[in-house]
Amino acid sequence: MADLLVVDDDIDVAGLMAELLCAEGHVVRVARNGAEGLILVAERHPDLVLLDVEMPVLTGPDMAYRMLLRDCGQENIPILLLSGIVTLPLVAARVGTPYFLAKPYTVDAVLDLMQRALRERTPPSPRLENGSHEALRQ
Amino acid sequence: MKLSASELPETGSRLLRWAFAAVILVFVLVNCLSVASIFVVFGERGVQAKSREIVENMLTGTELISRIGRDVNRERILVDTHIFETRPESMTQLEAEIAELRVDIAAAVSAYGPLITSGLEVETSRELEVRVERVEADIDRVLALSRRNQNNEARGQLTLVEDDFDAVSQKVRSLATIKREQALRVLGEVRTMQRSAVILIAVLTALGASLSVVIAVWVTRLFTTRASELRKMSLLLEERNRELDAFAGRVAHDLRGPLTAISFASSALSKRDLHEAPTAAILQRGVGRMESIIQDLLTLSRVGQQSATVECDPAPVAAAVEEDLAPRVKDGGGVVHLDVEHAHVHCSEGLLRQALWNLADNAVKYRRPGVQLALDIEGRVTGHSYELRVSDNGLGMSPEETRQAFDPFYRAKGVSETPGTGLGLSIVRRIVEACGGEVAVDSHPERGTTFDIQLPLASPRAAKV
Repeated sequence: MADLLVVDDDIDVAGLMAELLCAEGHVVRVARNGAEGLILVAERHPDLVLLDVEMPVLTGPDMAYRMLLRDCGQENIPILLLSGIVTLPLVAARVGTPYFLAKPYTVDAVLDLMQRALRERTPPSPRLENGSHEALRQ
Repeated sequence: MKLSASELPETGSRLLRWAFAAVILVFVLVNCLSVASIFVVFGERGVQAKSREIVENMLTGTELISRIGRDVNRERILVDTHIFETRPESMTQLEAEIAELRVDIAAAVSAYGPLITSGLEVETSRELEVRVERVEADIDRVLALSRRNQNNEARGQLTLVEDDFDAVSQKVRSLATIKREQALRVLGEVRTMQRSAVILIAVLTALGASLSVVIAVWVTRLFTTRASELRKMSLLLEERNRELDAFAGRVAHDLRGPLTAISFASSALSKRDLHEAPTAAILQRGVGRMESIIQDLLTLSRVGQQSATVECDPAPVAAAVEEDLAPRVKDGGGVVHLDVEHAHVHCSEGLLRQALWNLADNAVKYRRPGVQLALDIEGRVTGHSYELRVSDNGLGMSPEETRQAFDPFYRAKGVSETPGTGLGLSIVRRIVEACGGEVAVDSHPERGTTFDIQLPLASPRAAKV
């Protein structure tokens, strides 16, 4: 059993995923954007964040950067990027996570990759560009 | 279709270079004409001959006039000597010399006739002839008196000869002056004409040069404006392409979201109720097909973005495709024959791989039931291009189906059960054309299909690796 955080602005996808993951015996919390995700992460560090890329208020990569900048253990939480954007591999490389899956994915694909992430627990290792820290702090 | 706008400014620059070349050509032609005119004016044989003729006329005429003057003077001296001579043989000799001088004078007068060129000269020469005849008549009278030894009378008569001789001398000088003035006047006219021609040519040359410069400036402005417009259009088209690409990405993203929801919903459905598993499977297959279409449409929309300047070696690309496809071919008991020459072609490795994969994948998908699949992938350098041939012994297509094979979303009859989007061959054609090549298909039902791809070689040197 793992403590999971699903961050996705598509309430259908987030709800169905939470239902399926709960059925697999995991504890699942759901956030509708990166800002809500940060609040839930601050409340309790999950074992894994299942993170969408494009969301209102705060995007997935921005949320990942902020977790890194807080430097209070959140930076060690592995992130699984789930998105339908065409440039997902590039975004994953920028965030620095080896775990990403392009929509539309199957439940089995998500479960397989999730198990791998929970087993390896590789934290994100982002490539910060010049000025990224300052931009994010603002 | 993506627009390859980056070539437009290049086209403008090429036109600009041609325009400059044309202006320079006009300039050179105008100046060549001017120089040629100078040569014509100064080197023309008629003008040269005319000048030479005038000078020769003057020299000859002056010489003849002088000869007449000298001969008459000599005749006068001989007559004077004749008066004082007492010996008959000497007198005879002197008379013979006088006779020779008269012949010479007559010849000179006769030769001078054709050299006369003006009315004043005609009049003066006639007066000279009259004076000469008078001198001759005077001399005849002196000689007659001298032969009769009437020396005093002869000397008196000689005084008259002197007067007439002075008149002859005066006419000779007049004629010489007329001749020289005539020559100088004509030569002056020739020089004036040449100077005028030089000025005219200089003016023409300056006009030609000015005209060339004006045309050059005008053409330069015209083409600079044109190039600027083309550059703006190019930027606009590139912007539109980026927008189109972003739009395609956005559409793909927005379609994949609901597809994910459908996929998850079908999974949830099957987990809640096992009886719904077949329905969930149908939904999953639909999701898979939709994702294939989205992926193919994305590929199709991005083919035009690939630069035709990149190059790759088809041999390792074909080998990689064969390796990826091998498990599926072996599962069906088929064989793949690979014979692809090394070369460098104008196509990116990713695009060529996609094209070859689509063709080879079609061969596997549309193989004939009960017939061992034989897939041949061959590549040869032929002249300045590279020919890639992918042939199989599969189902083949009718002529009607072959004609529409490259149309987007077209699927041949009888293969609707086989998974596919109908975009594979469209993508192949777009890739090949984006690389500057051509693709053709030859197919026969129940015999198989052959695709011929012609790709431009990167460079003749790189033809053989």
